[in-house]
Amino acid sequence: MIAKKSLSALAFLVILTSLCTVFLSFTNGLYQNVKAGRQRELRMKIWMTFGNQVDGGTFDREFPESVSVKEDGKNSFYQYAARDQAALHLTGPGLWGDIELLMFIDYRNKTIREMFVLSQIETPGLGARISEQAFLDQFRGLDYSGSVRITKDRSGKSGEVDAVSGATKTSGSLEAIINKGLETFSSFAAKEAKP
Amino acid sequence: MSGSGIRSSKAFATFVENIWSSNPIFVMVLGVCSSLAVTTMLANALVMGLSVTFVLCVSSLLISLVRKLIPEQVRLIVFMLIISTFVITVDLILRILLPDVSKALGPYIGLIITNCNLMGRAEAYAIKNPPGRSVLDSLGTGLGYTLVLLILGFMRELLASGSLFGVVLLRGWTSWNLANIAPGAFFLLASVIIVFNMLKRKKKTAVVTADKPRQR
Repeated sequence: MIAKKSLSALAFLVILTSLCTVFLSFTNGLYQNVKAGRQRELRMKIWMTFGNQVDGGTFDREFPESVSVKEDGKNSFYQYAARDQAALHLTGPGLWGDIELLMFIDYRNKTIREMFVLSQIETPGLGARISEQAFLDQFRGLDYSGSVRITKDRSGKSGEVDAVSGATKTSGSLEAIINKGLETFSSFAAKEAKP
Repeated sequence: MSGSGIRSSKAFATFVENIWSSNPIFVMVLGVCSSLAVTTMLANALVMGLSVTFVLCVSSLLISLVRKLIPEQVRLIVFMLIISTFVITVDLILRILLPDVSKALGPYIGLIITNCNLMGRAEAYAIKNPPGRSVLDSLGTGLGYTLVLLILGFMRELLASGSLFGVVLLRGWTSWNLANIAPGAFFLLASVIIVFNMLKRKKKTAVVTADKPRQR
């Protein structure tokens, strides 16, 4: 009798879980579609920041012709050899979830040109302040020939940026994402230069 | 006609009660974590409040509809499944429609799953009552929650940046940064609860003096 009751409870749960899963897969499908549309917008943004005009008609042909795209895990690297520029689209773990960055560099002079935080879910009021323009402006023209350091006590070396106070973990994660991205890009660029 | 009138008026009384005299935050002090975290901006507070209200209503409706089918020993797991499904749906919908607000709210939309009000309404009301009344009950709780979030969001955004919904209203306002950070949120919530309790006490004494013969 008890076994029968438990079985029916189990069956109910299995059915309900399956229904929920189907429903969520459907919603997720919708979201992925929208995300793909945003991918194209991202490429347009990169194209414009490289200093070009976006022409709706020729963009989809022009972009792949002049920009070489490489992928490494969650990170994408857009190299625009004509102007020694590159865009690094980096995703890495923050304190609560992934931090998604878009970083423009001048790889001949080894400086960062501009930095954008595309998405993050850090603590509002603390870690989330990495999205603020005042913080991001510090990266403009930053020399990354050593490694980038996000620190609370600057020693005066190049490549240093003031951390967000109260957000040690987020600052550390951001630093790791940036440096790993730059390293990977350098190794790609070196491989290409050799042959 | 009169029978349904009485029933609906009773349901309506629950609805009003949930907004005011048993408000989820002021009186029961449930779901305080999210209400402190997302109220730095009025717009975020509004979206958060409406999301909670939506999840409350939809999950209550569904639970109430299948309340006779739910096996008693697994009912909490069933609540959790239904609630989390709708919370994830809301999260995805916000990412599609309002990507900026969704970024600002961060993990707190996902954390609606752990908001005690949802499990509370399911266990205390939706499992025992018909769909219409359950939805009304949840709507009251959700609106009560939204009301408090809006009050806090209004005060915090105004004090911290002199703006409302991102529109600067007070030019040359000296930003009161305390309102933007967690301790300020605690102080403000406590002050609002004090004012609320004073109002409530005043109202009660007024009712007592006016309706003395009706007292039980």
